[in-house]
Amino acid sequence: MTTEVASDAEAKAEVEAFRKTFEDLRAEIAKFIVGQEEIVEDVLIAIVCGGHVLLEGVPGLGKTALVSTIAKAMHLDFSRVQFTPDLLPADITGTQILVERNGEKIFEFQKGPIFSNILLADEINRATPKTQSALLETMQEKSVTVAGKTHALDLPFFVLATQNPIEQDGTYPLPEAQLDRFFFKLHVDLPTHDQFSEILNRTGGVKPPEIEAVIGAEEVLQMGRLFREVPIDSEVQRYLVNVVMATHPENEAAPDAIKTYLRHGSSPRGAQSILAASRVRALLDGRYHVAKEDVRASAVPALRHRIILSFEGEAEGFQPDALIREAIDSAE
Amino acid sequence: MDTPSEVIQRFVSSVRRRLNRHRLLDCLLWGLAVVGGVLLIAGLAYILQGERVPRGLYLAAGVVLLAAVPGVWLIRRFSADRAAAFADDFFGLKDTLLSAKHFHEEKREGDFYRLQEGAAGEKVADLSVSSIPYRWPRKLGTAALVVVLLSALMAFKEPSPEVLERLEEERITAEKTAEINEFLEEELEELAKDLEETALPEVDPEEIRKLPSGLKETKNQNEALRQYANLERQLREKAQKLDRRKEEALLAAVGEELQKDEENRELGRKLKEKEFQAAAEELNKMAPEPVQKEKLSEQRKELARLRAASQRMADAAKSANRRGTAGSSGGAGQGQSASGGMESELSSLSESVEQFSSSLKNAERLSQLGRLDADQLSLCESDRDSVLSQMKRLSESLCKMNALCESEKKLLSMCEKLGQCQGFLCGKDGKSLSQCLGINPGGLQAGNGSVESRTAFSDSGNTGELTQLQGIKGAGPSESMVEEATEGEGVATRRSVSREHNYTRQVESFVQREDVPAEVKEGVKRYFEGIHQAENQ
Repeated sequence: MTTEVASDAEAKAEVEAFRKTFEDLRAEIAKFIVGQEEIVEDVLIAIVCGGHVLLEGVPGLGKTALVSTIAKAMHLDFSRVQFTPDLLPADITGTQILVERNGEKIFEFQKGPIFSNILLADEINRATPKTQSALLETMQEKSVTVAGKTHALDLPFFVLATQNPIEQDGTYPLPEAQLDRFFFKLHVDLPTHDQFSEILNRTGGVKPPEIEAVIGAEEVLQMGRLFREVPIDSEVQRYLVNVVMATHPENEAAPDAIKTYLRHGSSPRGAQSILAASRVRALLDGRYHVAKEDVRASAVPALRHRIILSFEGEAEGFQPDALIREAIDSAE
Repeated sequence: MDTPSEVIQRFVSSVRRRLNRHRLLDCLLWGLAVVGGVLLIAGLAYILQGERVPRGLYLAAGVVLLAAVPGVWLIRRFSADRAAAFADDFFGLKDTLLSAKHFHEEKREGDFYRLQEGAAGEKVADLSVSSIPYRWPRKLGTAALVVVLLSALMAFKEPSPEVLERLEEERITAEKTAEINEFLEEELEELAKDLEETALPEVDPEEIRKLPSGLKETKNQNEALRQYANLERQLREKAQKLDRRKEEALLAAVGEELQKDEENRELGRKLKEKEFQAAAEELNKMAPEPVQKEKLSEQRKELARLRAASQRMADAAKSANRRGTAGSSGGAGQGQSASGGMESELSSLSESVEQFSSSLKNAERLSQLGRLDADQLSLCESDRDSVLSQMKRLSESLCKMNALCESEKKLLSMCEKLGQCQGFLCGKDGKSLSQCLGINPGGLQAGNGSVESRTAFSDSGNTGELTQLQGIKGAGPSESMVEEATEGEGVATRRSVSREHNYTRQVESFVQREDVPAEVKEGVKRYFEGIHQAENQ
């Protein structure tokens, strides 16, 4: 019992530390990033869960600033790659170059921008599928193999890819199989009037706010290990599975709108993302268990890029978010 | 110090109990509304028909309510899981209780499980179950109250006058049928005993005894009349089997012939008036004595009466049968063979008496010549035995005839009583069954003075029957003969009048019967009306 009590106290302290660290990160990021609290929270959750995020929004909404601020607050290496149609895979992963060492010419691997903790892949849909594949494969494997040699990436490794929803000409939309690799897909909306003013106040001055490092790489990894211990009740898990199953139009219990306007539902990876994110949300809420509320909050960002609209859905202009909410409502 | 799991379990149990109490109230209100609604509809159906709502309906509603409400509650009550989920929702605990409960049941162990349980225990420690309100379903409650009140008020609604009258009639009918059935049971038992004594094979007393078992106490007058008419029909059928009209007619003719002879007038009268038992005894008085050598002449003279009687009887029987055969061509059947049997007995008697007389005459002649021997005496004795045998046969036939007539009379009397019972059933003049039957007329004590009427029934002619027959008194066939008689003391009977009343009642009862076709009834009515018209002409 004494061991248990000590262990409980330690666990409780860890959870408290988790919450505090998260809050500190949020507060630190908020010094520079105005508004977008949900986006910030979701991005931080994705980082803690070891996932990658696809951000969709018009240019100028602070996506790059967000990622760089997060990198500073987490004291992580940050790099940015602007994806263009002429970008090659080697431009991302790195390549062998011929160098002279001690009078000998040898091939030396030059690491590409992917060898950082946080990578911002701007306008990923502008690069060719080959280049997209190189990035996405690395996101999955967390290593790069060049000339038969594998180079592991430093952890934590987080990719934040962006897409511009208004300039679709000459782009290469990510296929569904590769979209599935992203933990969350987030929509960045325009700021409000007050937020606009605040942005100007903060960025228009002589000295922009300084971002202090709150945690380091090891703490991030520690947080990533801790959240997995949060238990989930069988009833809540049943609910989670029902939500994901309800996105499948071939499922008899799916709502009529799903059956009509969706072509494909989410894969099990979507359920994994929801579960991981729900666990983090439970800890942030001061709980030691996952609740249905956490599932509901995590379902939309985790599933919106994993479901495929049917022709009727696209013709009717249905948004995936609305259909996901129907699935959530029907899961009770 | 309670563990967090105990605290949680206790809290969930408290929530469950409270919710189940609320659910019981809900079920009760629903039960009242539904049962009350059904009771209201059923009650309205009775009231619209003018009837009182039966008390049994309320009792049944109460029983259904008592059975259904707990049953529905047991099915719909909150389980522990549902109670935990409700508490999580109500107190905003975000699945804390449900998760803690399941983790505990699944015996999951680890830091986080303990922390979760501890946090849940801390949260519920500050919560009060009594803060869960009961949300009174106002509309349902109001509806239940209204239907229950209306249903209760309906209980006080009296039946309409028509229904009351019908109920009263049914009550009276039920009482009357009970009384009649009791009376008939006794009477039929008596009749069965009487028939047992006669030991006639034509009628089975046990069948008579079983007849009352078909009688039921009923409130429906038509049904009651039907059952009594049916009983009457069965009794008449049995009476018909005992009918020996041909033989009676033959014996009446024989009796009439005998009355011409002064010596045998009494025997003739008894035969004519169907006093067959007495006639048999009268006949047996004429049985010849054993043959005695010294008294042959006296014995022959004594035999003369029997000889004359047997001769007349045989001749009368022969001519009556001849007349009967001529009247009904070829359709006599049982009657013809029965009367033929009687005729042959009478003929046989006559022949044997002749033979005996001849034997005696011969023996007398031989005795006078001094040549009478034992053989001749033996022959005379043998002839005497033959005469006695024939007389015994005839006597037995007459006794059986008597039994048949008596039994038929009793059965027909029973039918008459049934007719009177039907009159009692239909009557609205307040007469009792005894009064309708003419027994025990009642009164405090016997009075002083003379009774003008020697009949046991009234001459008012009101039998309570709705269908009345019209006829002319004395216009129908008469059952009595007017004879010349010497002046003397005697008692005049009013048998013809009593027979007329009986006949009237029987025919009215017959007309009233439902199993009789309408055409037959119509025919009977027209017959009596025809008699009336004949009188007018």
